[in-house]
This record gives sequence, C-alpha cells and structure tokens, in this order.
Amino acid sequence: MPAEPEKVASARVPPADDPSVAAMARLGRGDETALAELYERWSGPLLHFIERMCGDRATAEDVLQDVFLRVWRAAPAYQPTARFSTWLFQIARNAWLNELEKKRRRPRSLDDSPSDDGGSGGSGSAEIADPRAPRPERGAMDSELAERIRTAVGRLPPKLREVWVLGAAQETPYPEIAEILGIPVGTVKSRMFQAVRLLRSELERHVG
Amino acid sequence: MNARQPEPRVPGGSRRAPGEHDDPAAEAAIERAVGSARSCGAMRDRIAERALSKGAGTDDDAEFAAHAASCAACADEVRFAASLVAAERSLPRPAVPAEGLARILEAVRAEGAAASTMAPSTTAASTTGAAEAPKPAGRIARPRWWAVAFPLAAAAAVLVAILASRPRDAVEARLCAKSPMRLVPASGGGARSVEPAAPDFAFREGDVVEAGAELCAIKLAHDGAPSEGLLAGLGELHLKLAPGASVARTGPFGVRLIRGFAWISSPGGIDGFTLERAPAAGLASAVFRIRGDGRVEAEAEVIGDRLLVMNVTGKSTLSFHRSGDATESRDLELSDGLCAIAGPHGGLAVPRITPRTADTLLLPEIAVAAVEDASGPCVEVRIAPGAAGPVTVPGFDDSHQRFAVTVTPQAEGAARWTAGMKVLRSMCVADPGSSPTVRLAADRPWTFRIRVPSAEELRIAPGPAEVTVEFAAYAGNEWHGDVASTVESSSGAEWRGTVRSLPVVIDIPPR
Repeated sequence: MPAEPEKVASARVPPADDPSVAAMARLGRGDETALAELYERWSGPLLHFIERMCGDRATAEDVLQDVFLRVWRAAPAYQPTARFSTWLFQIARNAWLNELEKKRRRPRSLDDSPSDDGGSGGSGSAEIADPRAPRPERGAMDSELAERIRTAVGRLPPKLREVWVLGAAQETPYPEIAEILGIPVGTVKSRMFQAVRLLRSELERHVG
Repeated sequence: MNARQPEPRVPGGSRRAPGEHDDPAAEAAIERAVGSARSCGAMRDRIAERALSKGAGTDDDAEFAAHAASCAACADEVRFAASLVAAERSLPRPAVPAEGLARILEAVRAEGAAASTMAPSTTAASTTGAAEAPKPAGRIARPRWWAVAFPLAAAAAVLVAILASRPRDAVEARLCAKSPMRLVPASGGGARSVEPAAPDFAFREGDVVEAGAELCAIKLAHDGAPSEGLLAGLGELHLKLAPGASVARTGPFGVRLIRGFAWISSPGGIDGFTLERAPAAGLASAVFRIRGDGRVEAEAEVIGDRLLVMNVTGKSTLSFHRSGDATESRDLELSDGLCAIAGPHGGLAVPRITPRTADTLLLPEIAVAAVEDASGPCVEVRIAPGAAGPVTVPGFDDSHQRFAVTVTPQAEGAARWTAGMKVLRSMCVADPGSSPTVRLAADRPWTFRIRVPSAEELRIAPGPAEVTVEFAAYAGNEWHGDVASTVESSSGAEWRGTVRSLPVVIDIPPR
C-alpha cells in the first residue's frame, strides 16, 4: 500500500502554524486565556468523542474536565512531536479508559443488573446511552433513528466503538486514528469493517 | 473469541464443499466461486474505507471499485456503510456546558495554589501512558553514584521513621474523600456519618468503616509518624474503598476487608500492616501482610469466600492457614506485579496479566470427550474447577449462549474450514440444568452432552473433524467471528472470561 507511509508521515508532523500548539506554549507560561482558547476550539469535538464512548453525559463532562486539567499539567513540558489533535485525543482516550477501569473496579452485588459493568473490554450496556441523561436537542434527524444508532454504537465492543466514533463520527483520518489508538492502520481498517458489520446486524432495517 | 464464521457466501450461489462433484465443470465453477469469495475477503477492509471516502484516488480504491462493479454483495455493503456513515454524521452534536470552562479554571487555580511550592507536574496522561508528556528540558543531571547513594539514604530515612513511629497503639484516622462515609463503632452507640467538613475520627479496634455510593478514602497514621519535614508521609497508609466496600479495624496496624474492593498505598514505613479476609467456619484464614518499609501499592478484593490481592509495588505476603483434619499453612511471597488468591481450601499466585486477574486465577477447566448416543455422535462436556479450587460459573441459558462448538474438518485444502455454532438447550442430550449459576467443586464437576451438529447444519463436508467447545462467562447478543461480544450477564458468578477445550476427533454425520 504505497500511500500509507505518506499518510502516516503527515499525521505525525504537526503543522508549524497550528494555533493550538501556540496556545500550549502560552499555557505553559501560565497564560489562562490560552486554556480558554483551547477549550473554545476543542471542547466540542472532545465532548462528542467522550460522550459517544461512555454513553453518559454527566460522566463525559467530568472526563472532559479531567482532560483539560491534564492538558494544563502537561503544558510546561509540552513538545509538539505530533499533531496537537492526536496528542489531545490520546489524552481523552486515556481519561475515558481510566473512567472505564474505575467502573469495572466497582463491586457488583448479586442484584446488580448486567448494565452495571462494562465487562472486560466488553460492550457493557452501562456505557450505552443513559436514558435519564439530558439529550442534546434533536436536529433534522428522526429522533428514534438517532437513538437506535446511539444504542447500537454503544453496544459495540470498545475497541470497535472508538474506531467508529473517531472515523465515522469525528471524520478523523485513518493514520491519525492509528496514532491515537497506537495500532497499525490496517487494524483500524479491519476494526472499522467489523464495526460496520455489527452495526448492520442491528440497524439494517432502519438505515439505508 | 477465536471461533471463525464460515466463509462468506458466494454471491449468486451457495457454497459447496469440494469433493461433492466429480464433474470438471462443476469443479471449475466451485473454484471460481471460492476465488470470488476469497476476493471478497481480501476486499472487506476497504468497504468501510470507501464508504468513508478515505481511499479516494488510490490504487486500492481503483482495485476495489473494479471488484465492486462485478460483486453485488460488496457493492451492497458499501451502499449500506455509506448510508450508515451519513446517518451517524447527521446525529446532533452535544452542546458544551456553559459553565464548563469556569469549572476547569477553578480546578486549575485550586491545583495551582496547592502546588505553588512544588515544581509543576509534567504528567500529561494516564497510566496507559500513550500521551505522557516529555520530561522537562531543564532536568538536573545526576552522577551515577546517586543511583546507589539515594536508595541507601532513603532506606536509612525510612528506618529512622519506623523507629520514630513506634509504638503503634494510638492511630489517627482521617477521611480524605469529598463524600461522607459511615462509621460503626464497636463500642455501640449506633452508626454515624463522618463528614468531609470534620474528617478526623477515632478508628478503634472492632470499628467498621463503610463506603457509601461514592469512593471512600481514609488515611491511617501511627501516632509517631512524622507529620512534616523530610519524613512526612512515612508511616501513613492510604486506604481507598470502592463504593459498597467496608473494612473493620483488627488491631493497632491491621484491618479486615469485609466486602468489596480496596486500594492500599503508602510512601513507606508500614512494615507489618495486615489486611485479612473475614473469618468463617470451615474457611482457611487469609492474611495479606506488608513486608519492609518501602513504598507500597496494592489492591485487595473479596470475591465470594476468597481474598484476591494484587501487589503492584513493594513486597508482601499472602498467607493462608487451615486447621482441622487437613492442617495446612502456606505463605505466598509477592513482589512487584504479582497477584495471589487465597480461597477456602488454598491459594496460588500468578503474575498480573489482566486488569481483573481473579479471572485468570479462577479459570475453570473444560474437557470434551466423544460419545455415541441414540441420537448420534455427541460430545460430553466436563467443566471442573481449576487450580484455585471451587468456583461459581454462570449456568446454561438460551438467552445468553455461553457455549460454542467449533468443528474443523481434518481434510486438507479448501475443505478445512472451521465452522462454529452456539449451543442451545435443544442441542443438549443430557440436561445442562437451568440454575443461573453452577458451583464447581473437584468432586462435583458440571457435565452434560451436546449433540454434534451435522455437516449440513455446519455447511462443511462430512467426515472426521476436530471438535472443540468454548465456554464464555459473558453473554453477548451474538458471536461475531473473532470479535468477542462481552455483555456480562453472569450475575453471581465469580469468574468471567473464556476457556476452550482441547479438540476431540468426531466423525461428522452428513445430516
């Protein structure tokens, strides 16, 4: 696949004029407005990613706060060796994995429903949309179909879900997904295909 | 799950096993069909790529376009994937909370104020480490002797701290969490809540601390533990309790984990601290003991009648002692990264492998044997406890198929396709029972028989084949090739995970 090395290279090299990189430098010197600038630019995509991964708005907001705290802590030593978005989404993913791990560690009583645990690398319904959580306003899309898609994506195993959310929902290029997740591009493709297959089994009657 | 699905169907025709036709034309048709199926397999990863328009303009894309032009199945897959991607992208985006930035700035300022006397932290990411920030450029270069001298100095300091910290009778306890916890004094007077606003409390022998719905963190310190200066923190023990967990104080420097999950950490100086499982009639005792005065990080969990410990950092021992007719005492010495479990009948230690190492330790054994029944060939499945002794596993349930049988014909070549089927109750010759959980013991294994599916059901050629049975303590909606669907429904089961039998050769009947 001759095109891949180029794609990987382009994902690794941060654009010299990336305003987020400049904001990180200012943040490292203690400039709070830089944090506000980064929040303005990235909180939307990050919240979207985290909420789709954990399926719970309140948890997603907590994880988002954790991500920006980590960014602040890292700012003094930040070196732009990769695209800023790659670095940022790696942090977001790690923060989500920590949250997932915390959920798994919580003891379950015999009366607990299966949804109380995400399972070992599994697709626990605890991460599926929380019906009590406030939902964003409905757009042009049929709300029932939107809910079906959210639920089906929430049921994907986490490894497939993160590839789907980054690729299909966030429109992140494959090489960047590969860097964020620390896996080869081929694995990203394979997981994306598996995700589509699983989603088809649930949504075939409703989509297309 | 390694159970592979049968090869994809050939568009426009059903797959047949080679050898069923002697007609050369039919053989050629089969070859073409198999070739086409392989092409689809090779192209499958590009289906989503094309739907996402990620491969546009590449050689791969052109190759796929050529394939899709002659393959209705792949073209259909692309159409569906494109619709799905479009639907996904039209989902409404969540609105960012208006007060989000203010909360973050508040947290940053609070953390900044707390760290104002310390160097700024350089840790960017979590324990998974993918986004660790690089070390600061201005790091001080230390001479080589520092690597030897510093630990020696630290050890001496720890020793001083230990000597200074004795006796250990009076213990200060403090709640370090933001949410309250419940204290049940042994002296009576009823339970009371310990609030973050007044975090200090007396934690006397017999008292019980219960975490509520939130994580609970308490700090225990010897009376003589230094509270400031270079040695501050030594002799202090941080005990975090997961929601629902509870501990009781057993003595000057020990607790009993009554239930749930607990984290233990200390910068050092807690040699001899013990955490034990609640005693019960007929159970061996189980005591986890810190050894040495180095830094300690450990985790402990009560699972049924077992005590599981993970020694993350430091040295410790998990001891169990059984008295009576078969008296036995054993100490499992643990160093960094070792886990151990002590059950009612014994214990064992393994390196930490998974986040939930209990699954590794509690892994049951599964064996299959070929038997002939009135209904035809069967496999007798026998599930017995593993090295950790009796264990509770989820029972048989048609709505959560936990068993799968995989069949690999022994014939060479293209006919050696592995076929798999989930096992339903209707396939069981001997009743597997309907209890939600099954308690396995050495003298009480779980056995039942499964009718071997026919070659027609499996869509493989009849004849001798290797048959394996897999048991998963998860229940997914489906098994998707090598993708494990892991929605857990093993309520009450101690073990989660999968185990697969060794193969047994069985002659697969045609029908």
